[in-house]
Amino acid sequence: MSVTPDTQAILLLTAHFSKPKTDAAKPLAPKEWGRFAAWLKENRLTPEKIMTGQLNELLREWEDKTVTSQRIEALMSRGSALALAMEKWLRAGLWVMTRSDPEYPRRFKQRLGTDSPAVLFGCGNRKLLNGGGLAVIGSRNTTESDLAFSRDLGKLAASNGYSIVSGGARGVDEAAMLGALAADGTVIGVLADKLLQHCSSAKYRKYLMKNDLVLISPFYPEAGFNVGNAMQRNKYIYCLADAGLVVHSGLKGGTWTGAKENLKKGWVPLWVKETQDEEAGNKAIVADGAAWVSSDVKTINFTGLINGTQPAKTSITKDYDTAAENIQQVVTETIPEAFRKGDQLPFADTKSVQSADSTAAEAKRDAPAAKQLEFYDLFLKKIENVCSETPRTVDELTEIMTLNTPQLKLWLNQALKENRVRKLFRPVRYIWAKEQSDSEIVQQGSLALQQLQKKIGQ
Amino acid sequence: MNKQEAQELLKIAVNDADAQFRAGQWEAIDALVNHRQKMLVVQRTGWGKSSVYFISTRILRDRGAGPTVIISPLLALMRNQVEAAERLGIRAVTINSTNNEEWDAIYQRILADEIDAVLISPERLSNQAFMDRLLLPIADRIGLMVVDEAHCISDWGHDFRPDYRRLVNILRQMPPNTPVLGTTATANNRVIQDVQDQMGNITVQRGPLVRDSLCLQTMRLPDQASRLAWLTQYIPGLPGTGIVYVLTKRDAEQVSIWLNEQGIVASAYHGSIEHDDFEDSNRYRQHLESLLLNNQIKALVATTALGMGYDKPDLGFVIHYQAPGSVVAYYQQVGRAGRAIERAYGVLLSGNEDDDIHEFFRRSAFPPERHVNAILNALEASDGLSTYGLQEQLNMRLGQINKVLKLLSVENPAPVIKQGPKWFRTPVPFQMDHDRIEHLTHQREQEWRELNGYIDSTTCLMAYLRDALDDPESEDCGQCAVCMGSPVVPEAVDRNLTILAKQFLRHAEIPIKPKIQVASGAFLKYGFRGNLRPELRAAEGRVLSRWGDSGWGGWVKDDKHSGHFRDELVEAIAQMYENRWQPAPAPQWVTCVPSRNHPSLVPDLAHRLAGRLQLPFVDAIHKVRDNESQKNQQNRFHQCSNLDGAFDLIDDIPATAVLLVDDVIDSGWTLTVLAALLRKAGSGPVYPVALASFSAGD
Repeated sequence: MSVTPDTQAILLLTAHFSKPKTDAAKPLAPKEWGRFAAWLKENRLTPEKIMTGQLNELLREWEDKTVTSQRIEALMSRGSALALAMEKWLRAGLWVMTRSDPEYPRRFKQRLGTDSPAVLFGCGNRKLLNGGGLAVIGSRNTTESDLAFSRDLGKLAASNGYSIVSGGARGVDEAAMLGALAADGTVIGVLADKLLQHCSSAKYRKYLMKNDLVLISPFYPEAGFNVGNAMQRNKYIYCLADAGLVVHSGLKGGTWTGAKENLKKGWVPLWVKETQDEEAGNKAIVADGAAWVSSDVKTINFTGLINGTQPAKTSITKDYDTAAENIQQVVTETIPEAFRKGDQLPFADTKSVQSADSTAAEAKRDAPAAKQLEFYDLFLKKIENVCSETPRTVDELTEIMTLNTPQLKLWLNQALKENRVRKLFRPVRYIWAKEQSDSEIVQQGSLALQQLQKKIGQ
Repeated sequence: MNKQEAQELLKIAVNDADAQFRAGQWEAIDALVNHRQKMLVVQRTGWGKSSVYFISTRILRDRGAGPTVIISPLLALMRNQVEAAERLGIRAVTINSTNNEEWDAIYQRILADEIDAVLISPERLSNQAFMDRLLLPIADRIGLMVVDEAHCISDWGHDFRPDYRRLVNILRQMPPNTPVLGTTATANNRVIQDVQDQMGNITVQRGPLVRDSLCLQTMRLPDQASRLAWLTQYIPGLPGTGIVYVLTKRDAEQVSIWLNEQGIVASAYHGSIEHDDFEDSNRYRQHLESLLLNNQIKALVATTALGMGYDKPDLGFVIHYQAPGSVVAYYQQVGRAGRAIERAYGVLLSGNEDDDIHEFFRRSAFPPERHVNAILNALEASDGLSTYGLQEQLNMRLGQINKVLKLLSVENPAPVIKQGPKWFRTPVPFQMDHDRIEHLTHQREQEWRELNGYIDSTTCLMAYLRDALDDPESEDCGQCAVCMGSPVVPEAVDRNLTILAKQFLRHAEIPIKPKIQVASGAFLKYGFRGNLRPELRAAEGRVLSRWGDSGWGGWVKDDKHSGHFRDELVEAIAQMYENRWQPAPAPQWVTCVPSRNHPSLVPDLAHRLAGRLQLPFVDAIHKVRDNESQKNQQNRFHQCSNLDGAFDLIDDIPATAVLLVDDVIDSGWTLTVLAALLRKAGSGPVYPVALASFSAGD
């Protein structure tokens, strides 16, 4: 494999080629690179031009508080180090991609914007990266029953044709990943350390060779374990998925922080496995806006999980049965927090287009459960009233319905998914969708998707 | 930096106030330091390639760039290079396996920016420990990368080396803002094209390869004895000092012994030559190189391990005892002679065995596919194995295993990778590239034919070489044997010398070194572990010949097949024993290695030998287990474990020294184990002796 000059330049600016040294110029962080890349674009420059041209002339106009010209120059002079490191990594079967790569995860760009990793190192089937899936998150040290749950969950994802997205750590991560792989499913592993070693490990090698697995890392591929990287890695796991499921969380630590961050940023709907462990943070995460999911994998409706519409399980309501909580509970279970706040673009890739058909049908099938949703039903009625004739923007709707914007967007997305409303563009407006047959729904769904994709593509 | 300023540096470097750049030198420097280009410079040895990279280094360092890294097969910079570097104030260090206790200090000096140039050998690049510990940490600041003997990165090159394949993969990843200089004196158009194809945007500069002082001659002398005699007869008359090139390590040692016996001071030089006074082979070879450099010996008898980059301006002659594989290889080697002297000699002697040897080289250039698959399968089923682990699992020689691993690991992407001490299977699919192998083999056959064309050429020999190298300027030299119409060095060989040489070849016995370390876990019954205790080890033994060689080995081979060793062989052992070997304390009895397949062959030989030496024969060792043929055991673990519990001894072992006889030895483990058993049972020192050895010493 040869690497394009642009990629070489981006690597020179953003990647470590050996163990980080204290006295050496520090590679640009994603945000720093984002600023510099934007400036390059503004000035009609490419990274390659920066590498091959007269640097001091090209950078005369560049000013930045942390990214000095000297720093850029020092980073750029690491050509031999780049060559030595790349030879080793490519030899081990790794590849490298930048944000401009067509296979670079679109979900990263959508959800993280300029905070997306500038460079991803990886191994295995790159196509999986844009396929979404279920993020499975949990502790390293965990119980046998949590491990069994994770394995079965992986298997369930496999049989539903969805990838598992996880972190490759011991415990829950590994169990879910290997559970899916053993069942011929597909897996995205986002590693915080030792990408190079993992790719040649007996447990992952054969799946990488079968194209069922992709392992990626935004970090130095030979990095050892590092708490900072491990924490940061969680956000990438959520951002690659369609929905997230926390198997077990402490009351602090990576799983805890990652789940909170996802809820705050509204990346994906979040589920939490029910647990008897009083020490666990599971309950607190639910209190924060996630929803419970049964500890019995057999009873889980996977599509519902992915869509964020899994019906409430009686067992849960039994366990946490208090009359006062009940209604609130039903709402949260059915529409996790993330949906209320999220402004995600749900379908952004081919895999989802294929599954969109079933998603639409599933949405229909789940309709009876959705009938319990009084607030949402009210919302639908109101939308029907105000949007039947005139398409409305989000701002207009916020005002008309006296709702806060995240709440509005959440329900709009839900309605969009169920084909109760249609989305129009330039500007973005919503219009009530008339009653339709299933096939029409599907058709319209994929039309909307195509429009969306076009939009994203621009 | 302009030409005038650079010229001032040149004057300093060559210590000559009137020095001018040779054609191409400034252009190369300009391309590197002012345009950060990648350059391939094809210029004859002595043109001044090191001036280019040292002056470039000086300029880049003065601009604040990091050190230059020079990748070269040389073990150390040549003296004139060191002097030029010193005059420019360039602090150069060599990093190789001989000085790894200095690595840390060198590393610190590099970090402190006290080093301007680092010389490393290409095989260092395959040593991940070296790369991780030393090269990668300093690589952030490498100012210039120099690749010496860059023709080696070509598949088409006469001496394509796996380590250079790694190197080309590194160079390929070099971003366009990083200057790289490749240099070579021996590359024809095809090789240059191949280097360009592999490296992408590299600018080529080439000059004429003329070598005015060199007088060339070729000669076919079929048998080794005549060639040995020729060497004795004519080397003393050749000017100054020189190199005798041979094809195998064994020939290097044998020819060098012969020359010394004949009063010509010579030393053998090859990739694994060692000497008791030197810590390792590299150090000893450096010593040998300096002996020749300082004219303290008449000649080095060397394999191709000597050559690339070896730069002795007044080398008087290069003689080939056997023909090299290609014209390019020949030019590379003969081109070492006569760089700075009026007249030098390049004589190519070609013998009967050359064809077989090159056929063997071609056949063994790539490992067989079953070896490759066996190793891949073993690694695939594991989470990493050391080479020892592979030996345990696979019945393959360590050399075979290493050969496969080397071949696989320089691919990019590669199906195997070394992490720490273990090899891992990567997720990279692998398929032997049969087309490429066939293509390269075919290419080598073609090159060998071209070399034979040179030997028999009826036109100017120098012109033949320069044509083959696509030298843009090629004309008849007027001084080779063909142009002169008569030999440059006489061809006639003295008959008596030839007879002497024949005898010498027949006395070419080889010591059998006692083995010490047994494979762990292989002797569960006999209980041998780790290093054999000194009192259980065999004494140094002797083997009369090599299987099938031109001395006794041919008869051994014939007789083993016919089932009876002729009396001449018994007499040959006896004479070796009495006249040359003379072990002390002298053996008081004779015994032999038993065999169930050939129950009488070796005992019969041993009986007759005992009779001839007037010693009693004792039938002391019995085979008690039908094991597999020892010949089929390919590595130490299998060679050891196959023997465990296979023998039993009689009760009354004499307490005196004994001669232990076998016919043909391979790994030597049978003799080692039997010696240990005999010593354990109370015998005196055990002296192994055999008619011939199979082991591949070349």
